Amino acid sequence: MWWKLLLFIALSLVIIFSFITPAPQRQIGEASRVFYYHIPQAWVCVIAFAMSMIYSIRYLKNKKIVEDDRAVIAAKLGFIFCVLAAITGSIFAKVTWGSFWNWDPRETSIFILLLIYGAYFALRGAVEVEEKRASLSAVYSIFAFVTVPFLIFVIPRILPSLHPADSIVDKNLKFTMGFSVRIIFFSSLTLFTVLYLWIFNIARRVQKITRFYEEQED
Amino acid sequence: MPNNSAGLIAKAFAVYVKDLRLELRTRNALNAVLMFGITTLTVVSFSLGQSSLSPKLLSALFWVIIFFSAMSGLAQTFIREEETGTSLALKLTADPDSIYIGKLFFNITLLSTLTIIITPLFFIFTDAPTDNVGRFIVILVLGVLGLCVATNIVAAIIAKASVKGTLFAVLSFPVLITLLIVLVGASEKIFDGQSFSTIMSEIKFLIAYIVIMLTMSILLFKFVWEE
Amino acid sequence: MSGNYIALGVTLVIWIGLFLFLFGLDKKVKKLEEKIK
Repeated sequence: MWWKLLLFIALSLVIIFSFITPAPQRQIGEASRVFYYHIPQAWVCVIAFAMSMIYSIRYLKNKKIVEDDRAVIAAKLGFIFCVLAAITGSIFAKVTWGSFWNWDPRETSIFILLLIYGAYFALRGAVEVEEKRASLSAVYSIFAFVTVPFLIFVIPRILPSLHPADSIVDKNLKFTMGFSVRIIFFSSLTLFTVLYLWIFNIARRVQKITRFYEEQED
Repeated sequence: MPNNSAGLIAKAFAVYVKDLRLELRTRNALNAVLMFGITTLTVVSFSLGQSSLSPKLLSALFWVIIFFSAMSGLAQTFIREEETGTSLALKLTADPDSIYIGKLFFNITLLSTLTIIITPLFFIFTDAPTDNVGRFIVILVLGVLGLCVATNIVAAIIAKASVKGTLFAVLSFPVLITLLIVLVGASEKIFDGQSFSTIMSEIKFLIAYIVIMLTMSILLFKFVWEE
Repeated sequence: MSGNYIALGVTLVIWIGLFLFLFGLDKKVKKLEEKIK
């Protein structure tokens, strides 16, 4: 219960330190601070989508609607964090390289993820029967997800134009992160994950209550 | 119902022939697909006039035409079952795997017919380089297979939705993006006159894509088809 | 350098707002859960 207060204090500290400590990457300058937020958002997005997939698979196996409920919650949260990651990423791209969007590998994969889940929600909106909606969207999300690893193959072939810098920067961050940078970064990563799990938990319980009252009405 | 592989193929073939006969009578899907392909091609050709296109543009244009033509016709085989109410009867007479494979072959036939007609016209209208037609045909075949394999289950999914509209394209596109990127890239290299070895990795990718998407969709189809 | 402080302020405000919202929501949901039991 009081871990929530801890979360509040810890993430507040991370935010403060992310701005008052020296910029993590000297060559890029102040804009590099965005990595304290951008990478955790992308990370949480992946976790959320993975959870959504797992719940989808579970639904197909045991046909309990609660699994589908969880799959949707995870998908919505994943989508939100994916949008956030795309926004922080393109702000960073604009500041550093001059243009918001460049179809480099990472941007393209985020784009495809957004498309997959956009399609997922469109599909759900088009099916009225609850069980049908659950199985059709479960099948689609699993199937669509299988195409994502194929991107790894395509990556070397897509424009390497601006973003060799991107990989250099990432290598720099990974290998030459100073001690304080590392603390802030990994704390941010962990705390964002905790935050996501908390939101997921609340949404899950809300859905459970909603279902309870729905069943009462029958 | 014993489900040996000979039974599977025979049933799939029966489904395929049924769809084929129906299509030859009504020609709905074929007309939609051909109309779309030829119209787009004509528009492109008019706007081009005498000028020629770079390999990049030629390649992108070709696959855009094929992609959208596919979108206009490949969902018909499943949608028709739902709309005419025959899907229940179909469910009783054959197992999911046979139905899926039968309809897959129908779509492959449909898309192949389109490409057989459109491709020569494309080369004629755009004056695309024909020195490496053999290689282009290889990519073409793999591309048609890839498109059909990936979209078949999507077609099955949207057939069950109540509001169809543009859903087929919306759902297919994310699945097809990587395929299209590779097809366009390989075709560009071919139009550019590059050697066969440069497209070996694309060919490996395409084969892997086809095999994996086919396996996944056969595994998942049951969940779409059953009530 | 003051740009940093503005960004810091904005981010902090957003976070505090989000946290209070979630905390309040959590409490309400707990109450509803008690009612169900």
